Formats: sequence, C-alpha cells, structure tokens
Amino acid sequence: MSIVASGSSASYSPVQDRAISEVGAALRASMQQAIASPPNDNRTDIILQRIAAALRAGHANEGVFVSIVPYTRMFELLTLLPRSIDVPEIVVESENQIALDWDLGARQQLSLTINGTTFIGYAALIGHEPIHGRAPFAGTVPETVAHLLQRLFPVSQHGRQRSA
Amino acid sequence: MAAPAPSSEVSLSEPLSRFIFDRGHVKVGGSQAKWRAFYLKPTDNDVSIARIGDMEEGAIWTLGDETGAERQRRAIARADFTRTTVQATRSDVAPRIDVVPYPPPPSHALIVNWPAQDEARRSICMVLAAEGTAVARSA
Repeated sequence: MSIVASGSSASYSPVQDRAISEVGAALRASMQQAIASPPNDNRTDIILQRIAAALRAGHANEGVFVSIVPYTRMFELLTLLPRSIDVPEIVVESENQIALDWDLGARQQLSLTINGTTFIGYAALIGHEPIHGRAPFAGTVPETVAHLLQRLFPVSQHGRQRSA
Repeated sequence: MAAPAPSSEVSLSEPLSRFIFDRGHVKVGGSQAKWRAFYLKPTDNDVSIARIGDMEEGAIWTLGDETGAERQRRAIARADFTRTTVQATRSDVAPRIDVVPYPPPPSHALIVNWPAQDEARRSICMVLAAEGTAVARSA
C-alpha cells in the first residue's frame, strides 16, 4: 500500500498499492471507500447544529431537558444514515422522546421516534399510503426504516439523486 | 355568521378547520399545513377543531384568535378539511375516527376516537395535512 502525505493533504494510488496482508487489505478497502464517498459536505456540522437547535427549542417551548438514553440512540441512528439521506429535522418531543422528521412534500413524509426503549417508531405517508409501526433498533438501521428511507430517497444507478 | 346549532351533527361536507399558531406547523408561504398541526400528544384523546360553515373570513380569524387567547397565541394559518376527510383515514387501527360537535362555543368540534398507538396517530395526521387545504392569514 502506498500513501503519500504532503502537508495536510494525502493521496492514494491504486496502481502503486501492493499491500497483501489482512490489515493492508482492510486499509485498502477503507481507502477505496473513502475515495468513492462524496467530498466532505459538512454533514456532521449540519447534524450537530440541528441537534443543538432542537435541544434549545425543546427547552424554550416545553421546558424539556432530554434524557441521555434517547439522545444517545438518536445520535447513533443519525450517524448510521447513509449520505444519500438528507439530514432530518430533529424535534425534542419530551424528556424521553425525540423525533426525526423528513418532509419532502405533502405526500412524502416520514417521522421516526426514538425513546428509552429498544424500538424505533415510524410513521409515514408515501403517496397515498399511510404506514406506521415499530422496529427494533440494535446498532443498525432497521430494515423497515431503511426501506422507507429508500422510498423517500431513491438512488439511481448513477448515484444519489438528492443533495444532503 | 350562521353558527351551527350546539347539538347539530357535523355534516360530511361541512367546512372544518384546525387553527395553526406555530410557524413551524405550516410551510413557508402557508401553502401547506404540516402534519404536526394536527398532532395530539399520546396523553390527549381529541383534537380541537372549528366548524367554520359559512362564516366570513374575518370572523374565522377572530374565532382562531379566541381559540388561542388562553395561550396568548394568534392564529397565523389554518387547515381546512371536512368530516369526509377524517372518515377517509379510518383503518383497522382507527375504525371509528370521526368528528363530533363539542360546544361551547357552538362552532367547537373534536376529532375523536384516535388510535392508541402514537405512530398510527402520526400517519393519520400526515393524511389530514395532505388532504387539507392550508389558508395563510393575510397580514
């Protein structure tokens, strides 16, 4: 593997990459994934800003301080979302519940609720189909939730269709 | 204004309205109510609405302001719909959701018989917001 660092920048050359160890292969995969990813688009900044705004609004409007459990689970879910998914609006609904809302139009709605349980609640209106339920959340985006997000943010063969 | 009689049943086509007091509950420009305008907390059982019938615009907004007076809120928009819209959301989880008169005042009504599950309530709110017609209050 060949990594060239110069100042604050670094470049990776697949042509010069001769790593054969397991660690080297993993690092190669990581580098290739990083190269394939879109450039840093300050998504993390957007997430943090929205969390901060939601916490402020929750306290100002409802006098609510969020418990650590739903907060941690919300943050975990947000970091699991692929970049092809817009950063949602974050709503502090109570001390123990936070909602993530996507509003892409009157008939393209999704609201996820995260609380102190091991489940994520979901409610959606996609087209003329209202959908709701709960799915277990254990470190990965629940399949049903992923499916709903995919319906809201379809990705073409040529990459993502919507901007973050 | 021809206010409905206190006990009169809400007809299927009678104009109904949910007043909106929060700018976050209506899209910019007032073109569309957001589903949270209809949302009721899990601890609540009903959603308050108004029977606006053949009321004039000015009288409707006055009613909205009176509705928000207790919370010192001014109505900034409203979502108009009918009882038919509400009944169309009926499903296995909400087989009896409906509109009933609930005076006073004579124009007061409620959306009742919501499902117990919060997620089901949200999806109904999404339908009501999508089906309803948002009316922004002119400055």
